[in-house]
This record gives sequence, structure tokens and C-alpha cells, in this order.
Amino acid sequence: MRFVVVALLRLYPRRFRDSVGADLLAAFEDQWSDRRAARQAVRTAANLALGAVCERFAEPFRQHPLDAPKGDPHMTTLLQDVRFAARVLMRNPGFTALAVIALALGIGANSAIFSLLDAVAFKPLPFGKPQELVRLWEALPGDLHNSVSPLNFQDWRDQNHTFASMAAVSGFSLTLTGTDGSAELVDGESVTTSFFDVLGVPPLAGRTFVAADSKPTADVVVLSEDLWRSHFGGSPSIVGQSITSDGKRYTVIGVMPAAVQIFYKAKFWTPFFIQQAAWMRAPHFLQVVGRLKPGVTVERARADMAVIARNIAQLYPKTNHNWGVTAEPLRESLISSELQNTSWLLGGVVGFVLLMACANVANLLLTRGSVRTREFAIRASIGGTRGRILQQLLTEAILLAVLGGAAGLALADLTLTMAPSFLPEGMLPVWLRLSLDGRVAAFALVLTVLTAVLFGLAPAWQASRTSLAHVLRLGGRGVTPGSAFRTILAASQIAAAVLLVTGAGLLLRSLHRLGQVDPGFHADKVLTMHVMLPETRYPQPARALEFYQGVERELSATPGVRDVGMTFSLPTDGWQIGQGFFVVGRPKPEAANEPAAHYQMVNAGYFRTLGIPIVRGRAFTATDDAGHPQVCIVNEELARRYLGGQDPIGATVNVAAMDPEGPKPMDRIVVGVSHQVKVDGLVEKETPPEIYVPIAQNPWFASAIAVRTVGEPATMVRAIKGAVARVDKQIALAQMRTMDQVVDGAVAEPRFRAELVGAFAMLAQILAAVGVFGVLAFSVTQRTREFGIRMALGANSGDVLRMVMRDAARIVVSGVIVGMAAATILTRFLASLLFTVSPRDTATFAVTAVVLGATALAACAIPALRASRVDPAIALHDE
Amino acid sequence: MALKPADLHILLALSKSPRHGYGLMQDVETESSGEVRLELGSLYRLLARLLDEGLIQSAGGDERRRIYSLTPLGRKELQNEARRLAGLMKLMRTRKVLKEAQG
Repeated sequence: MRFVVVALLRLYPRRFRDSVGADLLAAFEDQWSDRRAARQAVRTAANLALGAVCERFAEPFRQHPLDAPKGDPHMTTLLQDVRFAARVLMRNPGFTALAVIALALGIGANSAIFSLLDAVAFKPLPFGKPQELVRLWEALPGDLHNSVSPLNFQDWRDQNHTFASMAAVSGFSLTLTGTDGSAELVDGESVTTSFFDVLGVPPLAGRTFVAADSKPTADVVVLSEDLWRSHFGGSPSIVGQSITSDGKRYTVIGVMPAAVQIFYKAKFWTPFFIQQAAWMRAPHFLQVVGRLKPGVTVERARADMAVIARNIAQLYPKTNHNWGVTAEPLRESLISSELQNTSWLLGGVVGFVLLMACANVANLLLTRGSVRTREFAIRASIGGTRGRILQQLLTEAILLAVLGGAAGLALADLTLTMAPSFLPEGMLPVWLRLSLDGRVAAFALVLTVLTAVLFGLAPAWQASRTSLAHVLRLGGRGVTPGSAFRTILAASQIAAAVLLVTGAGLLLRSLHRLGQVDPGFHADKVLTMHVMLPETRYPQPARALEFYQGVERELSATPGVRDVGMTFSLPTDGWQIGQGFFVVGRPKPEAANEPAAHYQMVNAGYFRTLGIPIVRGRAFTATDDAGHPQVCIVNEELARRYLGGQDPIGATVNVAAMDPEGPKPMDRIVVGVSHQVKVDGLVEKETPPEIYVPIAQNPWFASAIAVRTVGEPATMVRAIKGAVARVDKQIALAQMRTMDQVVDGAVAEPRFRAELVGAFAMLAQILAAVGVFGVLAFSVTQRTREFGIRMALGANSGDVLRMVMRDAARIVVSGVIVGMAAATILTRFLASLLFTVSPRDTATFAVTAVVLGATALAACAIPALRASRVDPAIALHDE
Repeated sequence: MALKPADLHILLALSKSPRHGYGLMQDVETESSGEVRLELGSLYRLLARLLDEGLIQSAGGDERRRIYSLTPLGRKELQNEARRLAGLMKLMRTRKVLKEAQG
């Protein structure tokens, strides 16, 4: 018997054992030798065990006279609380792990999304005095955001009174030749020399442009930080060296940080030179940014610019009639409303997920609180005040939250590091880099404390209210505090899940609708790429045509190639060249009201390659060249809108051709009408008119090449590169994509949005199911005796099952109803992100209600079945 | 402050003479007419606390058993408690609580 007591003594705190342990053992031996009664021994052992538990719990609260003087009493208490909380958490590893994972997911997702939301909605742009920066556009009635023509920009810059400085940017690319002789096309920008000063960003190395750098042929270049690191080893000695591109030398004068890539994904910058030719007022291709003089408002700048625009329009009515200026804070123009909406949407979604995680942890704590009632009662009886117990429980909650927060922050860091690889290309502006900075960390900290209070306070309050008398009355069984509260928690979780699943459902449905859009062409088995011909070796369009014809010949002879198409830009890849036109023989519109068509220079094989049907007339042939009549093909929209009431075939259209000397108007006979294709992505606000002209009649220095292959296009990359290299090995093929990828680019953002929200909705659904399962399972355990009595009195298992399921249904149905109501109100904020789907789409709502109701009820089935199998004999015997 | 009943009984038993644990247990039971029955674990937890509070002390004994005795502080506490109880008793007499209870 002695060893039992020795073993039990091991359970006591060391202090206790040192003080009276040996004597207790001696006394026990006295007692035992006195009366060898097994009954008594069992009582003693039980008493010792209970005493051990009491001592363990009382230990941290006891003021030991010897310990007391040490340290600050508050701090000591806090440390004790933390130590004790850690012990409690370690003793329940399953519970702790579950809670920490739930919190880590919640806090991690929120921190990651906050970093996005912060950058998009709150953080100032990474430029000097960013509030002074303004984006400027040329405005036509009905189209306020046009690029700017060089000469108009020049007049704005020289005549305004409100801007300290102004800069213009144009896209530009260079071919870099690698050490192995391979060519690589690198995108950059050609910028007016004041560009970096307008943005107020200093160089990382070297200098930026000065006015003297602006020459008809640029000979200096500023590298971007990423190009500098990837191609030049990040060495500062690059400044002063020269790089060669297409036989032209550029001296590197400086290196700029990535933040200045505001319009294009520029890897380098060269100075832009404004050609002083009259026609340079017509082409609109510059992006303009200005810095306001200190204290000047955007409104004043708008008024100032409006006056200038009116003056220019009077001087040059042919090109500038009706053109005005749009001025917007740079921030607004750099961060699209779609990105803002997406960020807020994601923020809202992860916020709900965190709330649900909190509810689940609170539920777990409440359940455990009931189990621990005895502990709290004992503490209260040995002098633990209510506040003291509350404090202890909150410490436990905060410790849990801190663990969850730390794991969450690690998760957020990982997510943000990996973000560039899974975010759809172009979703974030190039200058915007997501990172885990101090703001995100502070946010996570606040979130951690908030969650601790959210999930910890209610259970702690509940538990601290436990009175000794109450527990004793119940004969030491656990009591069920807050079952009503728990029911409400579970119902709210279901409501939140309904809301999220509805949102996800709407986005997925919208995505599905997008997938059903007919792009007007066949995208499968087509590989696409872009070429850019350097002016040094291709000074004339005729030289460019020789290159294209050579490439077409080589590619067509390549095994595995079915068709070769050439066009200036690919369908769904955006509006590139717009040219004014009019139908010859009809009243000519005023210059300013002349309609514009999307202008494409294509080869004979283009329509075949992309499977674009010619609905009337014919496609181009090899003989549609400079030696034959000038022809064109118009699309259905142009034929409908401008050639209505006549046979489009044979009509004559006057449209400006591309020419190094400026746009050259030219009469062309319509030989065919092509099926409508999407120009600007799958979602187009309007259906654009298009004019296709034979590439042989208007060759230009850049082109997209599309190759339809027999097998998988990806396997043809090498063969195609080889074929192009046989024509000119110094020409780089840029942006190798399958046509599927091109189209995919158009739906990448909606897909990302739908999938991410869908994933969170799935998580929410699981959390809700777990929540309602937990509540029901616990209540069934608590009511085992009641079920036993009911069954003893004649209820059958079906009755009990029905009874429990009725409770479950009450929770689930009320949750679903509240969730639906909330969704009806909140989904309207999704409207701008939905494509042909109403934010109150009945089908989505109905499916969500059924799916969530069924899931939640299924989760309830297990505890309900358990209740129905209660054996009255066992249940009552327990008492 | 009032002593808890079990504490009072322990101090009372020790006021007669120092005792070892097992003897104390038996004394408390007989002196309280079986009303207070201390199990070993409970007794030693009380003893440990009273030792901590300096009301009792360990006063030698053999190598196995320790003898516990009152400290001056413990004796004073006991007297205070006795005085308090006596006062209460007097009050209860004047209010005829016992008589009424008997009647």
C-alpha cells in the first residue's frame, strides 16, 4: 500500500513534498498498521489524489511567505498565469493544436490580405510627395482616357501654370544579345528626361536623365534594378559602361528601383525625343504624369489644362477639335477600381473566416470550460476571486492567440513571398510589391489581441461565474453554462458560411459565364509570339516585309506546322492601333467625328490560323500585295454599323495606313467580311469595328506571329525559334504563349478571385459544420441522462433522434435564414465583379441554402444517432 | 479573521501538547465528537499551509515522525479565535438563541 501513497505524493508540488511528504508517509504507515482496512485505504488514496489536484491548481495562486518579497507582485502573478496557462495548453495538445491552426489560418489570411489592402487603399504611393502627382489624359466626349500625342504633351508642358514638372512615357523595347549569341527582347520605356524627377525617386546608382540627354537617337540608358541584378550582377561599376542593342550602343548612366515602373513593366529607360513634325500631333501613344506646384489643387490644374486644350484645339482644329484634358490623382489611375473592389472583397471574406475561427475556438473553450467547472469551483473555494480566475482564463486565451498569431504571421510571410507566382499576371500594378512590413506586423498584433478577447472573454466570463454551491449541488458533474450562447455562436457560423458560399457561388457562376463567351476564334493548338524589328537593320517597311515573308516561308516548311498567321496584335490582347476611316461615297464626317476602327495588318494565312470565319467575300491571298489593288476586310460590326443597306463587298473605305512619315489615308476596296472577334478581352463594353489590311500592302516594324500546329504547340517552340533564326538570328521572339494562354490572361483575374473566395468559402463551410457538430455533440453528452429517462419511460430511439435533429434543424435553419438575409444585402457589393450574373441570382442562393443546410445537418447526424442509441440502463446507472 | 473549522480543531489539539500527524488526526476526530474527520491528505495539506503561515512549527521528533507544536503566533491566533467565539457565545446567550432553538 505504501507505494500507492508514494506514487500519489509524486503528484504534489515539490514544495509540499519537501515540507511534509515524509511525515505524511509515516503517518500513513501508522494508520495502516493500526487498522488494515481496505475501505479506509481507498478513501485515503482518493483523498490524496484529490488533494494533489487541488494543490497543483492552488500552487500558482498561493502567496508563499518565502517567495512573496521577490519581484513585483503583478509581474510575478502574470508570470505564474502564463506558466500555468502553458501547462494547461500542453496538457491538451489536441485542443491546442486545433485552436492554433484555426487561429493561424484566420490571422495569416487576414495579415496577407491586409498587406494587399493596405497597399491598395491606405499606404501612400512609394514616390516623393505622392499627393502632388497627377495623371493626365487626352479626353474626347465619351472617352476620357486617351493616350497623349507628343506635340500636345509639349504644349501642355510649356504652357501650363499649375504643374512644377510634367513627363511623358512611351513603351519601347530593346534586343539584348546574350553571351551565347541568343537574342532577348526586353521591354522598357522611352521617357522624357524629367520623368524620374517628376516621380521624385532617386537612382540606386549613377544619375538620372538631364535635358541634354534628349537627342534624336538616344545614346544613354537607365537600367531597372531587376535587369541590373539579373543581367549585370548588380555591380555598381555598370555605370559608365555601354550595352549594345541591335548594333546601337547605349551608355548606362544609372540604375533605378522597381517602384518607378508605373505604366509598363519597364526594365530600362531611354530618353524620349519629341520629333518636331506637324503629324506628331495626331498619334496618341504617350502616358503623361505631372507634379503639381506646392499647394495647387487638382481642380485648379484641371481648369488650367482646359484653357490650354481649348487654345490648342483652335490652333489645330483638324487634329484637336473636341479634345480636352482629364486630370486625376495618380493614385486613382494607378489602382484600378477593380483591384480595389477585389481587395475589399478578399478583406471582407477573410475577416468573416477569422470571426468564424474565433467562434470555433470560443466554442471549444466553452465546452472545455464546462469540463473544468470543478477546477474553477475548487479554486473559488480556496480563495481564488472571480477576477483572478477571469484573469487566468484570459491569459490562456491570449497565449493561444499569440501562438496562433505567430504561426499566422509566418503563414502570411510565406504567402506574400509566394504571391508573385500565383497571382495572375497584371493583377497588381508593377510598382506594387507585397511585403510583410511593420504595418502588417502591427495589424497582426492588434488582430491577435482582438481575437483573444473575442474568443476568450465569453468562455472566461462563463467559467468565472461558476459558484461552488452550484457545482456541489450537481454532485460534481460538469455543468452546462452558456448553452444558449453556444447555440447562437453555431447559428452565426452557419450564417457567415452561407454568406461566403453565396459570394463564392456568384463569382464561380460569373466565371462559368465568362468561359462560355465565344471569342470568335479557335484558340487550341496555336502558339503565338511577338517580334520587334530594330530600325538600325530594318529602316524601311519593305525590309520588314522581306523578314515576314521569309519567316512565313521557313515556318510553313517546318514539319508539324499547319498554318502561319501574322497580325499586328492578337485577339483579346487589347486594342492596339486605332485608325480613323470613312466610307467613300457616303457623306464624309467632320474630321473630329471621324469614327475609328481597330486596324490590323495581317497575312493571308491569319484567318485560317486562328479559325476566324470569313462570313462574306474572301480572305486575303498571296497576290494582295503592293502590286495589286489596295484591299481590306472589315468585321461584322463595321459592316453593320457603317455599310448598312449596301453590299459590303466592293464598297470602298478610306482608312489611314501606317507610314514612317505619319498616317497616310488610302482608299481600299472591301473584299470580305470577317466574323466578330473579341479585341479587348472577353468582356468588352462595346463591340469594336475592325479593318484588316494585307501585311504586304502595309508592313510595319512589329508583328505578332501565330502558328497553328499539328501536335501540342509547346513541343514546337524549338523548331519555331530555329525557323525564325534562319531568317535573322538576331531577332528575339518575345512573349511565347499559346493562344489558350492569351485568352486565359483575360479570365485569370476573375478565376483567381473566384477560386480564392471559393477556397475560403469551403473553409468557412467546414468551420460551420464543425461548429454545429461540436455544440450538438456536447449537448447530447450532457443530456445522456435525460435521454435515458425518456427511453426508460417509453420513448423509442426514433423519438430521441427526432428530438435532437429538431434542435439541430432549429440552429441550421435560423443560421441559413440569417445568412441569406445578410447575403441579399451584401452581395450587391460584388456587382461590379460579376459578369452577366445578378448579385441576387436565385439559383446561386437556392443551391447555397440547400448545400449548406445539408452539410450542417449531416454534421448533426452523428451526435443525433448517438443520442438515439443511449441505453437507459447504462445512462441511469451512471448516476 | 475567523479561523476555518478544521484549522481551529488542529490548533486546539496542539494547544494541549505537541503531537505527530497520526495522533493529531485521531485527536481531532475524538475532540470534535467525530464531526470533523480529516483524511491524511487533507490533514497534511492543512498542516503544510499552517506551517507556511507560521501558526505551527515542526518541533523535533524521531527520524520518521515529526512532532508539531503551536508557535507563539499560532497560540495568539487561537486565543483571538477563542475570544471571538466567547464573544459570540455571550451574544447568543443574551439573545437567547439556544433557548429558542431548544423551545
